[in-house]
Amino acid sequence: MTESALLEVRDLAVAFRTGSGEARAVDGISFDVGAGESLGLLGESGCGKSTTALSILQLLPRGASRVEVGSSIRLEGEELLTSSPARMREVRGGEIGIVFQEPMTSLNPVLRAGDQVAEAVRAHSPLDGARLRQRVESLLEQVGLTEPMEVARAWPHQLSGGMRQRVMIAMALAGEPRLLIADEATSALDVTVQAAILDLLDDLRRERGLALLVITHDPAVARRVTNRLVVMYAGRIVEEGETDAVLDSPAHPYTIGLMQSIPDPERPGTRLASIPGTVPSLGDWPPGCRFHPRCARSQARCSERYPPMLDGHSTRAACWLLDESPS
Amino acid sequence: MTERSGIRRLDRVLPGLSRVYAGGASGAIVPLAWVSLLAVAAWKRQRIAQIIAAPEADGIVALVTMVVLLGITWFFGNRSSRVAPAEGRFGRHRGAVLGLGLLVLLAGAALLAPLLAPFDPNAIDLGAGRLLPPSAAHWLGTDELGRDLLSRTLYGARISLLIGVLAVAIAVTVGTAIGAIAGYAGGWLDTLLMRTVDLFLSLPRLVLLITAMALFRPSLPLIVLLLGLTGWMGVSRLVRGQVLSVREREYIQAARALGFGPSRILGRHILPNVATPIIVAATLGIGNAILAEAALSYLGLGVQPPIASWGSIIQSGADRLTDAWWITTFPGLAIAFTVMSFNLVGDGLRDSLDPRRGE
Amino acid sequence: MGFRLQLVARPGVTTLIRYVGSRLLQAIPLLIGVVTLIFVLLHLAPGDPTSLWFHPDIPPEVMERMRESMGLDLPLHQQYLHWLKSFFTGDFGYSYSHFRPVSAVIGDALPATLLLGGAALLVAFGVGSAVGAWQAVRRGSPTDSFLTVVTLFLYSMPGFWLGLMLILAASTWLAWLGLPVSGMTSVDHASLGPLGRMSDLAGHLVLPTVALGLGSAAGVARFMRGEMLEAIGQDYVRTARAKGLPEGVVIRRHALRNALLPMVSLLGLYLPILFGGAVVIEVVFSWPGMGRTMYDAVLARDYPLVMATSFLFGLLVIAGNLLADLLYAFVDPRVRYD
Ligand SMILES: Nc1ncnc2c1ncn2[C@@H]1O[C@H](COP(=O)(O)OP(=O)(O)OP(=O)(O)O)[C@@H](O)[C@H]1O
Ligand SMILES: [Mg+2]
Repeated sequence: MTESALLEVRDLAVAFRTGSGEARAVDGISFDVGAGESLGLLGESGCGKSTTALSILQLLPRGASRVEVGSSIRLEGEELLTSSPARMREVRGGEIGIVFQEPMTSLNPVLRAGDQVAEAVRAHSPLDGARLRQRVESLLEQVGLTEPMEVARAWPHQLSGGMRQRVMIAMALAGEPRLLIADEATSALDVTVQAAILDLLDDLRRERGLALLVITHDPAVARRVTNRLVVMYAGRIVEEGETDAVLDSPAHPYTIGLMQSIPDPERPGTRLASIPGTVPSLGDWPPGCRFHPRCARSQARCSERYPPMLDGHSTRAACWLLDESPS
Repeated sequence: MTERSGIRRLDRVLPGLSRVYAGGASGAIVPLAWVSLLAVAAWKRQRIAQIIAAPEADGIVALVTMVVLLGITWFFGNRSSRVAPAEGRFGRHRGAVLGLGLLVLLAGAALLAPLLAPFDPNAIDLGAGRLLPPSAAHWLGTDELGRDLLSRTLYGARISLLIGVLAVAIAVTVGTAIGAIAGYAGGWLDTLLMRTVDLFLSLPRLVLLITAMALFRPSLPLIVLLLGLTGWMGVSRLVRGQVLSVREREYIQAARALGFGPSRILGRHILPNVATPIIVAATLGIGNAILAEAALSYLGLGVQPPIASWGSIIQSGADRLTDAWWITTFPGLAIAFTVMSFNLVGDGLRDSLDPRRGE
Repeated sequence: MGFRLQLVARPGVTTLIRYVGSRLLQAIPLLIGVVTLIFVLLHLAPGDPTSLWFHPDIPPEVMERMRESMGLDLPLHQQYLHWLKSFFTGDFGYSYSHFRPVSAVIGDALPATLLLGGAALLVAFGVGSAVGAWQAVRRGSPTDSFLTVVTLFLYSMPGFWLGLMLILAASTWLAWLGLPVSGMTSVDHASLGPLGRMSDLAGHLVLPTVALGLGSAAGVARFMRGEMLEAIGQDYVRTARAKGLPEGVVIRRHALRNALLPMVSLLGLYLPILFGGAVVIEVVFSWPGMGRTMYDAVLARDYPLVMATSFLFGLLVIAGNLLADLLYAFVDPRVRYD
């Protein structure tokens, strides 16, 4: 990674104010998204995926959260964490678009779908009147809505989940961003709709070179649309590498367990090997490697020091098992 | 440090006093009660001696109240100060603690009025004592008949609180009964009762009260009854909702299978579940009842002379606003702060029961 | 923004009419209920209802005619039907304190009450929602805390007492404002030009409106603050920010619009409070409306007028609720018309 990537996240740490003080939901993660690349962010519920996505656009709830000093988020070398509110408004939608997890609540119920898309267009270009309408129409067409004018006139509650998510994507594309963050954009949809939306995202990347940051808890989604994959556990990155390598020959015991807990369609009936124990809750992180209490192969030093990212067979993982040097 | 240990030692005589250091609701109230009760006893020792020497009904009531209040404080002081989670959330609600403190003071003042009041509230002085502005002798001034307004306002607190509490007691009883009947019976009876709720909600309460007062002769019991009969709708909706949701749950069906009657099911399974929202509604309801009573008394359709109610004191000063502003001003402030205390406590209770709404 | 003009999603006119019709039908049992309630009160009152109509000034033959016209010589159930009929035909009988038909007295008083009630409603919801929304946007600031205390106090305070305090202020240290503290018009009202009359009326309206509306405004503000806080936390507000919209637009177009919707249903709650309050406020300010008329009728034992005014207050609330429901269906696209 010698040349500068489109998005560089370094040592990102985000703390939430909770009932008893502060707790870090994201604790020092780093990754890059190259131009035109599709990076996946995989992890179980609560591991800090959405927090990561929201902190890139500074959309975290004010007052309740804080990005820690020392974090850095750079867009083509420009530091976003210290840029002005006006610049951030340009970035939002104009450079980085985002599609959220919840299609049912992410659209304003009292504005027509078309108006909400038009609003996103207007935020980044001075189009008006008929030209604005054309642009909205073509955006809705691009995201695979066959009757764009009908959809534009509809209220959100009149649209199905898949249609709403397409409207959300049209909105996110309205400012012609170079990076699209899809935060579990398909989790709430049924399988066929999910596949169609994923194909749409993939097409957008191929045709326009739109970089993607695909956040998901589903390895199948990651395999379908991402080139590289980052696996998160309890606010930390545990493994990263080429998507196929991470999914097929993982090095970290957590990733291995995660892959084993997926039912294999070719061998129905085999027992799922799920990981014992539960994900520690926010602020309850164990010392050392956060996975060690649930890890069958944990050693003494696992509970003492957090492992650095180490080279494995075909991926990099934060696990002492990969450490060649004597402990 | 030494100060603290001194107070800790005092704890043996006045249990709970050292809780000032704990902070929060349960921390403040016991010490506040000790200090104010003892201060009153010390300050009014002559009056107390006088009552003991020559007992009269009003004075005895006040003395008994004093003893009872001291006993209650002692009891709560000795009780463990550990708080339940909801209570803790209430305790952290600063406004609610303030409201509760104000209510304790107010209720104490109302009950101890015979001790606290510097004058007989009905003692008339048509000579030089008329329409005196606030002074050292008459803190809140005197009215047209030379009666001391502080004393009248203190006694007025008894009337307002009594009316508010009793009216809401009636409202809760009626509301619970109607809600339970509607929820259990279902069908046309339910529809009829719920339409009745709509009906009572669409006639302005004051209009209904004024109409009724015009037809009947105003009296204290009648006011209480009518305030109760115009304030039950919220509770009945709460109870009905709970009955409907609990009715179909399994354990009720099990209870029914065991042959328990509706009243037992109501007492065991339904009321405990709605008790807290009912308490919230009742707390806010007392404030509303006090406001309605004040308006009625202001119109001369409420409490009749010689009983002093805050609303009727305001009325007595309304036509001499500019030359005796104190007659209207102070009772109005008393109403506002009383109702505010009830609203603070009600809001605090609601927030502590529903964490989503908490600040 | 272009799409609002060519709507197809709105229901057709017939659906709308059918919806209005069905809501109107639902109001009728309520109105019957109001009349019934008054009837029951009247018959529960001590003494024969006929004695209630008695007034020393009425000649016996008029009394007799009155009894017949109200059907008070009939059996109870027929009396009740008679009673219902007279209310629905608007024949409220004769007012003995005004020496005129009740309907004429009410015809004079109703506009004054509608004016005062309307102005107070405007203050309550206009000022109330603005203050509440402002507080929510600046949540936790010193101004927010200050306004929280102020609104709580205003909400807890008796409106009639506020009225008296306003009169006190307007006649002492605010006397230079020259605000009238009584009645609806000045003595020289008739001699003024059209503009002068308007400003005369507006001047008289100020204090009663504040006295009647401020407490409700505080209640509305307390509610609005919560609604707005909730709206600001919604996903679609985050979406709006993610588009790169300026904060002002995010708050106004996205949060505020949604927070205002529940205000419409709050109307139903505040109408009875406002009209009930109007009775006392009209007495405080000698405002020649229905409340004042009702109060005078109570003192004069003019029962036909008392009954008619309380019925009309019920009618106003029911009609207001109906309007609020229709308004809600109109402003919230999610409401289905069935
Ligand atoms: N506003 C907030 N205040 C306090 N804690 C929060 C807040 N938002 C998120 N958290 C906590 O931060 C942690 C990470 O949350 P996040 O939403 O980033 O998880 P996620 O990986 O996106 O999970 P999911 O798959 O459920 O979306 C969780 O423990 C969550 O409870
Ligand atoms: Mg998430």
